[in-house]
Amino acid sequence: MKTLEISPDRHTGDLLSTIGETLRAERNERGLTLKQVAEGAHVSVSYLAEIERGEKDPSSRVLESIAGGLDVEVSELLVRIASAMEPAPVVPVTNSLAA
Amino acid sequence: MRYTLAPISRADAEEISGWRYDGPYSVYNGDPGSVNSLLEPRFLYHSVRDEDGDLVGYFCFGDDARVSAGRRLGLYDAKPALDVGLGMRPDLTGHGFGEAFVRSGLRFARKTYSPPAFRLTVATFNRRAIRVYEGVGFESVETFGATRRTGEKDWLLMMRDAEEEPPYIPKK
Repeated sequence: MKTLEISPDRHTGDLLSTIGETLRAERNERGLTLKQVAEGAHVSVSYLAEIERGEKDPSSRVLESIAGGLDVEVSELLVRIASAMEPAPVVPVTNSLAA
Repeated sequence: MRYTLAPISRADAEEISGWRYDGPYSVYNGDPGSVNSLLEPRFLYHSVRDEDGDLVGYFCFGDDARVSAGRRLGLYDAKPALDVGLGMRPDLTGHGFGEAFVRSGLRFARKTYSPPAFRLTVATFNRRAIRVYEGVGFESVETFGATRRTGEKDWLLMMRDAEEEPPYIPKK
């Protein structure tokens, strides 16, 4: 019998690594280098790389700056982070209102 | 001092990615995670060595010397020019080596790429670098980007002719 593989990380919700992984995914999706995003965000390449690895905890202000460096709205970035943490599909607002 | 440029090697990229700068210049700190982008052929990263063969800095030419805010504003399409990016080894900065270092990179780029002009984008807080660029003939074109707390914008775009060497003016 095939067992369903559930990654424990997803459920314990390691926020810091999810933030880091999401930032890296967003950067790669745009084909941007660490240097390019770091410059736009006014942080060092080393600091951005540490955040992407989940080693450093970015403040909300830094997260805002990085969003700027990625040229994405910080609200959009937070939605991406949230959906990376919670694998369950989000119920569309219209459906929940209709229910 | 004579400086020599050559295409970057992995060993040099690894060394450069570990360089750490003091104070406000820490925004230029690298990371091992960026080694691969330093080795990306289209970014044209070059190592710079002194007469003893010691690694003293790097240059990049083209796309990685541009910043996103400038791209978005179309500043790099206004005039044809080769964008120049560079960095010196942290212990060598602030000692007056900058002009000779930059001149060596421009000389190499002139011979190798025959560009119509040189352009660079520098952070406005980095007055030390701006002085060096002015010293080798770069002129300010415009500032752009977000407005800093100091009231000035983030970036300064500078340009100079590719061919003409600026006259040597002895410092008083």
